[in-house]
Amino acid sequence: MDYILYILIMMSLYAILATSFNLLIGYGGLFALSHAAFYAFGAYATAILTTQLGWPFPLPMIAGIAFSAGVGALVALPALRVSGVYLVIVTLALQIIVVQVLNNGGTLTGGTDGITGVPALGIGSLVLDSPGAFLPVAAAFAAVCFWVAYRLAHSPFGRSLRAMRENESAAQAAGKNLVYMKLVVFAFAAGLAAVAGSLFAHYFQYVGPQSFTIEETIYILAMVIIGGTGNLWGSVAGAFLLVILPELLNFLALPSEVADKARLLIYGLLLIVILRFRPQGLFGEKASTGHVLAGEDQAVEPGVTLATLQDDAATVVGRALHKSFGGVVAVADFDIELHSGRVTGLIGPNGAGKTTAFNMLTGFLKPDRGTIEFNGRDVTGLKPHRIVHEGMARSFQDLRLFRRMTVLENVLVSLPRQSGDRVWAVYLRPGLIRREERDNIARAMGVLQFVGLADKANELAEDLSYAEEKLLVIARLLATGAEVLLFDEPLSGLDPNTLQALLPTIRKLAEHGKTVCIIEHNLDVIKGVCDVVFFLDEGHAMAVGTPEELMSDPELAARYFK
Amino acid sequence: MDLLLQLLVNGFINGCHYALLGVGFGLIFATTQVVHFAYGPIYALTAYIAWYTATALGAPLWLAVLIAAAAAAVIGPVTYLGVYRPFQRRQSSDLVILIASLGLLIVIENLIGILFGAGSRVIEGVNFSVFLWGPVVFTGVHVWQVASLAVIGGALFLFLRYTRFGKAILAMTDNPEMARIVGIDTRRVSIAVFAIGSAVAAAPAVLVLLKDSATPHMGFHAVFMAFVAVVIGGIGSLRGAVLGGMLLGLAEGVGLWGIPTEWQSSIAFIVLFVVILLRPQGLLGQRT
Amino acid sequence: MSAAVLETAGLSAGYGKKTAVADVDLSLAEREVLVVLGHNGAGKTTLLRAIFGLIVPSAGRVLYRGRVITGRGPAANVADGIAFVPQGHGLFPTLSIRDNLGLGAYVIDDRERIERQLEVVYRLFPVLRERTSQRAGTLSGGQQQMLAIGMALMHAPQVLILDEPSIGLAPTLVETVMHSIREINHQFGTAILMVEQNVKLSLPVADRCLIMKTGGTVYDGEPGPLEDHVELMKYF
Repeated sequence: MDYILYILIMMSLYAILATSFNLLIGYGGLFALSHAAFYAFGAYATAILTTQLGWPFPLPMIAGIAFSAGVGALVALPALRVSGVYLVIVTLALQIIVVQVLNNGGTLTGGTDGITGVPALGIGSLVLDSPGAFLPVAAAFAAVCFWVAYRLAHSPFGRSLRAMRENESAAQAAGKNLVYMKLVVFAFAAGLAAVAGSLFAHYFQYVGPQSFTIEETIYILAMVIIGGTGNLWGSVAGAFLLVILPELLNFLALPSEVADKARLLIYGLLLIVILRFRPQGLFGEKASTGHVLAGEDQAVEPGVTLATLQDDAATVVGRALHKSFGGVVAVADFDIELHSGRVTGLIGPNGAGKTTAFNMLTGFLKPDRGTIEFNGRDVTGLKPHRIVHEGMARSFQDLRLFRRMTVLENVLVSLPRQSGDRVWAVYLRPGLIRREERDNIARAMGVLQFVGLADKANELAEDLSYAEEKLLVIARLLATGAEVLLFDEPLSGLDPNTLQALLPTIRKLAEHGKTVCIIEHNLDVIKGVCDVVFFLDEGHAMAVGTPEELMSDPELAARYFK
Repeated sequence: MDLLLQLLVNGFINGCHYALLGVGFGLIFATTQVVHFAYGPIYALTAYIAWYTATALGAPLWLAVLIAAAAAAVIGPVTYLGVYRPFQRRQSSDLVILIASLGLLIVIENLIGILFGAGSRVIEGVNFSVFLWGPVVFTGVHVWQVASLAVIGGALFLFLRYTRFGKAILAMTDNPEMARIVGIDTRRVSIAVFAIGSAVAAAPAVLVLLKDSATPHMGFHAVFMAFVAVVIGGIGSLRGAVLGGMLLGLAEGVGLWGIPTEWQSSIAFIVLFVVILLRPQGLLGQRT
Repeated sequence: MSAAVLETAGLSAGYGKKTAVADVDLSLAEREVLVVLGHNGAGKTTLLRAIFGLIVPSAGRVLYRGRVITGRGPAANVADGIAFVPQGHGLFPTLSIRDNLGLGAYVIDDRERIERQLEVVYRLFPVLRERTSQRAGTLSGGQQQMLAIGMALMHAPQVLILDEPSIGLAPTLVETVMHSIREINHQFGTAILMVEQNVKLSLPVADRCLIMKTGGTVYDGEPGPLEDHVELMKYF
């Protein structure tokens, strides 16, 4: 009976560990192999503060959480500059160093022997020194930690996190603050792991370095992968499964040293097998909105606000823009004007500077010289997410959709000014978030209706046809509420029929008062959609006029094909 | 001063050890883009196989080494064909393959435990000459560690630079698509690289077995150091892997002069961190 | 009219969901220079890659001297006399020129034949002989392009497929490259299938022109009429 209680307690601990690790690698896409280290911080903080300073519960746990969260946030800093393989090795190094420190910490950490005599968890006069007494507390903590992780994951913040995981630059272009998100998710993951650590210390009344090695991290990783990244219930299931596993092996009656290793070997194999045959894990990722019905009962707001069409004043003015890359001048003395209610095209031979000009207008490149004004305000050199907030948004030629998120989520992420992106609001103002979410879903459905994708709202972006993907790109851009929409090859790669079918959508944007600018290499699109065209060559505007004017000019034609 | 000299020499010797590990790991990584974490346990496995052949089967040492290297040369490609290649064919992301490699690390590490038990293994009755260079002391094993880098590294270098197949391997690390375009069988090259890379690890493994012992956890530490050596030296550059390994060994040696023994791994981390910050592509790396 | 040495029938190919090439018929005659033009994203590069076997076509056939070779890998094509010069970095930067050229002839086991062909390439591109032990990555753009073409010539191909050989090169270098391509066609009788962006300098080299737009072909004929650039713009 005691043994079953022990199993349940371990499940509680690992449920906390797996869900917190999932937040980091599943939701955030931040592959940090240092989770056992965060686990250790909680355990050792509790062990040291109780045995050496006699601190009562819950102070040591709180201290452990704070310390772990702090280190987690610090680890986020290199994560801002490196990713993928580099993040793996940096966090791996942290994991190794922590174990080394624990092994060599002398009297502070007890070295390889660890710290014994950690007092059992005491609440007031109650001392929980038996499994039966400890289990409810462990389970309660597991429930609370799960709730904390769940709230975060299923909030707009969690949705933005997943968007960042899918494509960082696109998330930035949607106005998300990547630095903030990475710091928060690392701190939360580390802090929650520390809770498990503290419980570990109180239960076993002992902590030692052997429990917090890289193998432990991989064990927790296996739970997350098997349960399903991006699904927190899956992590609980994964914890359940991998803790139960050794029990199933008992039926084989292997000698004890072999049994231990056999168990580990099996979960290693299980990890490989799941990755190979069911990479999404036992439980797939769930959308943050649940299934939304595009029927009459779903409130839909006209997604595109009609701008007051003023006298043809230019909304965007670029003057004397200049940009060179290591001696090669890409854009020189470039002037451009974009007006509301018009579609402006940029054409020119390869290397004319179109993409560079485009990148400057949208903040992805800083001009060496020259200014960019938007509605009279100087926006030169602002970072991309600031420019989006000002009201100028861009799409990418290579789409950069958030592939493992639904069509609706893709649009939702792009809506501006969501309180749910702030963590404090997620926990302290749930009512506000719920209301905003309702309104935002209505707004998002309105946008989807405008582009004709409303019936695909619950489909994953990666399951769309190519033409539908193009429409989603337009929808995301619309959702930002930006007045100025800059499209980089919005219709490239489409067959002629689909292309013709999609042209009206772009014109509709201008008809609704948006300021639209596109780069396109297919001159049929330029002819079909643009009111005015800028012909770029050698980094500046050679000519401005209607598509027909420019394309029947022999000199420009000669330049185009030089 | 005497201590510093000894530490430098020790650092140099360890550097040779890490360099050779880095070369094997780096060859696999540069050619197939696989972060082969299981490289560590395979390295450990060769030490255990050598121990077994030498003690239980009574084979002479040189034969034990050959058998261990041959075993590694078979196991390596098996992991490629059995685990990594199926993922690559489905275009799984590099990170997924890395996680699979971690799973493989666990499998092989525990396989070693099941086959050979949890304790460390030592080869008894082997004596090594002791050399004295002024205040510096080292033994025959240490000489072998340096020599193995020179011999194996040198042989590998000659093979890669001057044979037709060796050049095909270099071509694939340089530009995998172009290698396909000129008609190189990239599958064959991958298999060969896994075989060579794993076999290369046999020498350092056996030398560690002779110098200290074979321990269950030696694999993880080895692959970690190899990984760091490759990242420092530059992914894609074998010369970089050697340089990275030597730098690590020397940094550790010199670092010990001021820092207590227990903090050795932090030195690797510091060097790694500095290089990533200042020159992310590595010292000799060329990919942007 | 010479028999077609390389042709496609109803060829379609793409990446994932995107169909970049849709139902394209192409015919390259013996000793002919066929230049493929079209706007960015029209599917020109995908067409070449599908013909050479770097990607497997989703529909249609590729025929070489009447034999079906659809979707077979590059190795078989190289052994059969088809060479491919990809766009941009078609070489091995850390290896020497000599080694690069040697690798171009990887499928050939005959050392003498390789040496002879090496001579041919050196005579065509003397600068490669001068710098034979220099690392390819340190060459200038123009020299790199010459090396890439030289590599393709190393197994004396009967068909040479090039993807935008002029990319990134200054006009004078482009002229040199085009001149070499014409030389290759005249001297060795190699049929050339070439995608190009530089219309002005590639049209004079062309025997025939194919223009692609949004995955299909919109022009297949003489290069002459295309010298009217305003006309040409209609196909882009």
